[in-house]
Amino acid sequence: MTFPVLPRQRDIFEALISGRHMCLEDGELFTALRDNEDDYRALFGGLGLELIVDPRGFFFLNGTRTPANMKDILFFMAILFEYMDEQGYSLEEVVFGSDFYFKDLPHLSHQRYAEVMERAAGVKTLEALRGIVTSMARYRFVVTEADSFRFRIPAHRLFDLIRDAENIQAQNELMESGPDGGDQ
Amino acid sequence: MVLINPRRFIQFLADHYEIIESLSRMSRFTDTEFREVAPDLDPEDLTRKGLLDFIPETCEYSLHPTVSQLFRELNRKRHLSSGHLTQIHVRKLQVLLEALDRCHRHRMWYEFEVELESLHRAILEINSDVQGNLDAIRRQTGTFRGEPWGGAKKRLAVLGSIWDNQIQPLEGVFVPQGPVDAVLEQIETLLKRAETSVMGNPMAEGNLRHTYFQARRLTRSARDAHMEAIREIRPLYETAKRNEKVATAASALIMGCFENRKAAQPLYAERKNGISHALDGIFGIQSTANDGEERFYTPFSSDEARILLVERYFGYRPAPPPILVKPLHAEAPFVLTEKVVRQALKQEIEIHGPVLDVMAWIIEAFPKAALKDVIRAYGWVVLKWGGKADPVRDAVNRKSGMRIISHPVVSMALPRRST
Repeated sequence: MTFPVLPRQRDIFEALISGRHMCLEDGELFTALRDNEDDYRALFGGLGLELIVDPRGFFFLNGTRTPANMKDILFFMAILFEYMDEQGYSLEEVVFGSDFYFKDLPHLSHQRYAEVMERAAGVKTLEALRGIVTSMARYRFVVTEADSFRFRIPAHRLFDLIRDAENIQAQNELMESGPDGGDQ
Repeated sequence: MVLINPRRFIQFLADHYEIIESLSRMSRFTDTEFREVAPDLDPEDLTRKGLLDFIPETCEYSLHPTVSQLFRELNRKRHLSSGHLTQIHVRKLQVLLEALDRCHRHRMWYEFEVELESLHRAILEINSDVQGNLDAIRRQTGTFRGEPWGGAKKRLAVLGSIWDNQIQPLEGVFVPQGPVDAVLEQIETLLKRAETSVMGNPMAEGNLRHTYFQARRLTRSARDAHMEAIREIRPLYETAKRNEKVATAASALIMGCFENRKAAQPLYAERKNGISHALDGIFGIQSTANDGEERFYTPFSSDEARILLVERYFGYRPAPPPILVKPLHAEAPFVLTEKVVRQALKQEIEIHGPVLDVMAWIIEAFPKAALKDVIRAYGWVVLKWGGKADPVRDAVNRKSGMRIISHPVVSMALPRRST
């Protein structure tokens, strides 16, 4: 069985297969994918992979690798969400409409949050915190700058992740599994 | 009677806005109450100026109805009004239409004009409510879009309250071929018929046409405002629902990290289910008005008052009030006292004459009394108060087999004791 060569096929394939999420911000790659959605779906389907089109405006491959530090990301986001909510911000509005400076993050500056980061993710330093953000950048949830980062549209999946983690029992199991995650 | 200069009158209202607004919230007030609100003003002076009315029967004052009405109308546009209230106004249109039709059929032209005016006012009120809601919603959503405000739970509570009270009740009211359209259609038909009937009366014809066109314009305007309110609030409401879930889940996740989970659980529960902060939003909507003044809107209380008002003027017949003075013995105490029994017995004898069957009377007079109290009361009447037999009456009644008991309080007839 042969597949036609699709526009930007190599770049799109490499991006998606490495777990990246693609949205309008990715310009030509995104439009090539969007305009040939059915063909790409068939292409990945032939490889046993499912191309997901999220109605919020991004693509990703289902069944690719889960970040090794998924749990760290989970607690990083939970703290960010709770902190922003406590400050009175509308979460979606502030997350997608702001630049976050590492020095202003609450994760290590508030005792309660610092305790959570240490217990749940073993994170004690700003560098380790940056490491979490860098790993999110690999999946294109965020774009990082020297001293700040901002979220991209695919970060909606992080909202979903937190929402789905509401089950306390699941959290307990997660806690009992220890601070280290693993590739799926 | 002082001739009122309208410009000065309006200027006076503006200069004393807070005072007048406070007074407009009080239906009546005494001289003392007035001076608590406005220590520098004289109520008699304001009465002369036409701002207050003096009520000689109670020596109280009230704000002149015109001024009260003006303040109510001005405030209405600043407040959220319930969708249920608008529904009432829509139903009111239907009733007014029937009244108009009746006046038309009986050729009661004066009454017809009055009903027409009421119809016009009702349509104005619908439009005013919906427009006022749109303004209030815009102010509120503007607050949400600006600075940080309240957190996810509070936002959701406020937006949910607006959705449930202002938007949801009107679902279906303004849709094409809905109740408002039906009313408009009926107005059109009726007015066309009426127009034919009053041909040759240019003023009546003009009024009819004016009312019809106004009705069309205002209902269209109300529909647009309602749709705009939905467009304004729906995305925020949906976002607030999502955000609230995420914020709650995030807190749950964080709580789960602590060793002392039992201690953390109430915090989580409060965050998940609690309403302590959210209640602020449900019962009042803080907003900055155009004049920069911070207000805490209370749609519930103001609406309730208005619904009652509308219902009252709209043929509402309240249920009869509870009877405060109950029939004698209706609230007989479960534990009878001597005093109560004595008083009741005295009254019974004064009204109905001697009591022939004491036990039956006690049971009838004090239906709630326990058996032991009935027996005790019987003991008071027969044994304790029974006193001495009145020889004269005893003689008189000997043949009837009754015995008259003479007592400082009452005299009574008792069955003769068998000796």
